[in-house]
Amino acid sequence: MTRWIGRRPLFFLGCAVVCALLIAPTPPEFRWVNLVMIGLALFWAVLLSAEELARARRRRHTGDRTPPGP
Amino acid sequence: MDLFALVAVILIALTFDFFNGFHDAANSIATVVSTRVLSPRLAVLWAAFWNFAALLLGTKVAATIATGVVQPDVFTLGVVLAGLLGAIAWDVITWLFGLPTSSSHALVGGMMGAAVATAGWGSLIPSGIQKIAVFIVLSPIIGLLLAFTVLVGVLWLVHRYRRVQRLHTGFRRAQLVSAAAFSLGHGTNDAQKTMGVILALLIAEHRLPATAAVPWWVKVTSLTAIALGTAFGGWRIVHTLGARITKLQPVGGMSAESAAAATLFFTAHAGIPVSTTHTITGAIVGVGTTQRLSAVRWGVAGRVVWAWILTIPGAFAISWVVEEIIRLVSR
Repeated sequence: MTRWIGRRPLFFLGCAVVCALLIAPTPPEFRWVNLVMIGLALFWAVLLSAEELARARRRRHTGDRTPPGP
Repeated sequence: MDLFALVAVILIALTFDFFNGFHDAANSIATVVSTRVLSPRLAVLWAAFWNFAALLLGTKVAATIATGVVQPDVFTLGVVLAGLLGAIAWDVITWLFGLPTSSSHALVGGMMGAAVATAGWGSLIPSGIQKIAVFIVLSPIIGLLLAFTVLVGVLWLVHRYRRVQRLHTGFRRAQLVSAAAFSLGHGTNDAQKTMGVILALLIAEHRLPATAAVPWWVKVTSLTAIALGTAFGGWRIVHTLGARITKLQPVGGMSAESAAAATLFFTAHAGIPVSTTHTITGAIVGVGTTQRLSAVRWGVAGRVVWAWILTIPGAFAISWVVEEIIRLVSR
């Protein structure tokens, strides 16, 4: 079965989820830290997913049968 | 007698600070040593110097420890002594197992345990503890995300540069600066916890008014103690962080330290006591993640996480017992 999302994007998505879960207990004056970190984690999750998709497409075009990257 | 006891507890607080340097401060040099930018001996001296340089920075973390975790009127010589002994005992136990736990959280857990044993759960300040608890989890994530961002950014900036050897030398030099910044951050954060304990003690013993700032001699002695602790090292823990979590290159070490230093400067400025160990571990994992997830040895990272989870309850329990013993003996 093809993985629809790589492990690294999933890892960053996990970081974003943890930061989001911590918003409620974080004192209001520091909640911007959670928001910035969620933004950063989502940014990397999207970028790494795009990289992975591009790599998979390139592999399909070239007929490369080496195992997928990390 | 009172003065003698006060001086004795202050000396124990400074001993804890020394052990903090011994146990935690080695983290500041883990990456410099593992990338072979400095020899272990030089790296230790470099870190100790920058630990002490934190004398010039603020004392907001000290204020949080003195008045933001436990109700200040609960502090007595016995409570502080029990809190410190619990934290020291926890530090020694985890050091024997080579676990990079946090002396800072051991201190917070210790003070909480001793205070609860004396005056019940109402002696704790929930908002202060909540802030610390949130940043136990947030600080490594901040370190991780910043380190990943810094490393990818730097690699993206230099990826067309072909003079690899020169680049490598540049990163090694930059790592000296980032290691210094991290040690400075460590001094601002960790030494201030001892300053906070001594301040709380001096206020409790009516040697200072309740609104007093940290006296200069407390700053100098606390920073000297942590710098000496750093100088005497904690090599088992250096090894765990620098070599066992992931393999580092100078550019990775530089990124991890810069990210961790930025996190520590922010939290020190905000008066939040965080663990330097947590922060640098998160940053090292962030650097490892730029290669691939399997570049991080998750078994070791997982052991570290367990040590984090156990630190506050462990130190809390030991201090509780010590405080009960102190009260039993002093009856």
